[in-house]
Amino acid sequence: MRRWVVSAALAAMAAAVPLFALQEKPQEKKEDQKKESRTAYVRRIFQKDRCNFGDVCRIVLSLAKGEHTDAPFAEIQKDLAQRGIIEGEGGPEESVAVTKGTVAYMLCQTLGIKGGLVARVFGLSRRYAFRECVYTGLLRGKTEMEYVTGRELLDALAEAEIYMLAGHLDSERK
Amino acid sequence: MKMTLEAMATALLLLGGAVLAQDMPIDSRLSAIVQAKQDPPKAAPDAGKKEDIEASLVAFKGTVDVKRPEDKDWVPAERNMKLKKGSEICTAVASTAKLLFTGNVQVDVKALTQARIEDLAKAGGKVNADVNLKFGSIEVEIQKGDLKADMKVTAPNSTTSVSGSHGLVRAPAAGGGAHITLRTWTGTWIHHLPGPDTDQHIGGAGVANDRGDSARDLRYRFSIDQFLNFFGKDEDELFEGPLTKKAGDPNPWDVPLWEFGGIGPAGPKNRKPGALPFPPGHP
Repeated sequence: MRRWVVSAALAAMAAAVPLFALQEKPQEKKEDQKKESRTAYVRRIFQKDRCNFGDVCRIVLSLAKGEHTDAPFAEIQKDLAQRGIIEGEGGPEESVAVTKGTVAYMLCQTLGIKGGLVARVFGLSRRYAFRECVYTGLLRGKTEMEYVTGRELLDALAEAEIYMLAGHLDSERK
Repeated sequence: MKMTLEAMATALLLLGGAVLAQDMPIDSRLSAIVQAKQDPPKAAPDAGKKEDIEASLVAFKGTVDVKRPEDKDWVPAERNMKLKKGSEICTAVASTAKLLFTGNVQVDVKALTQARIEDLAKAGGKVNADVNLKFGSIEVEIQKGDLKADMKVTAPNSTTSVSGSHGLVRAPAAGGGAHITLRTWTGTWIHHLPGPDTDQHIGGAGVANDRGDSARDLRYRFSIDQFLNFFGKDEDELFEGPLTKKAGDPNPWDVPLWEFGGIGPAGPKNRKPGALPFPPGHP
């Protein structure tokens, strides 16, 4: 009887070892996610063919605040809405690909670019915001309906930072 | 012929091969002279020895990560961190980093930039630095010092050799080559674009922009910049019209009508004095 009990206990312990191992794995994954470097999003954006709304919101909020932000998308969206950079509710989801018109609109709101006479009379739309950004030198392209690549977004943000510091994109400042 | 060989052998004597040359037959003397002409004089063994040096991260602002050769992943930057050959640096939005390669070579890494130190070595009183700029912009300042600095900035579609001066190299992430802005007139920057015979020697202040511009456009822009700098004016001042404004100036529609006259070129703010005042102490 004792032999049965001992062997059953040993078998239970042997079966429990992989279970413990399975329980530890998710914790390690969480730690790995936490360890991701703070500039990883910049390198990730650089490799993207199409940027999503989450990327643009994060990098534009970092520009507006002047510091890097690691907050979740919902908080970033709320913060941007409070600053008037995006609409509060009913906006696109995080994974939606973004057009140049949307990026231009967000940049104009962040940098305080009000546009020309027509934009002032009829309001700043994505189309006028894109034309204004092309005129200012922040963005390049043909129409506001083009999708933004990661590299174009990084270039636009680099230019926007100069604009924010200097108020213009003079060649001496680049 | 014999006299010439005698004279050359005498020269060899002065160079230090006298004892050997005296007892040799004429053919051996000739071969010795040819050998002496072909072999350049060997420098001291320590003079050409390449010694790797480290760059120091003297200051940074915002979010800056580095990846040294021994690091598995990117780590946050720390002050006085040593970066040796093969190290990478990446900056986020609103972040900058200042690297000191040697006492007289300083590199400012601007925001949204990723760069890699390809080579950083000292050899015979000369520092060789090779920086690979993946995207973003860096500002290079080379001052006169004991060590002669020879720096090369490699962007995806162009290479810039820097042997002095102070300037900024910008590599747009979207490609199209680097964009150079020089701050001073000194030094020589050579900008190599892809394709044969496309080296551009940039001797003074100017802007090199190869993003789709033709060579004629480049020359035009250089001449304009040099002209403007020579007369102490910038582009804004030259192309300033009655309706153009600078940053910070109010828009005409933001100004009340009763103050509108004051913001024009003849207004009190923009009116320039007819002549400079006398210096202090003038009778």
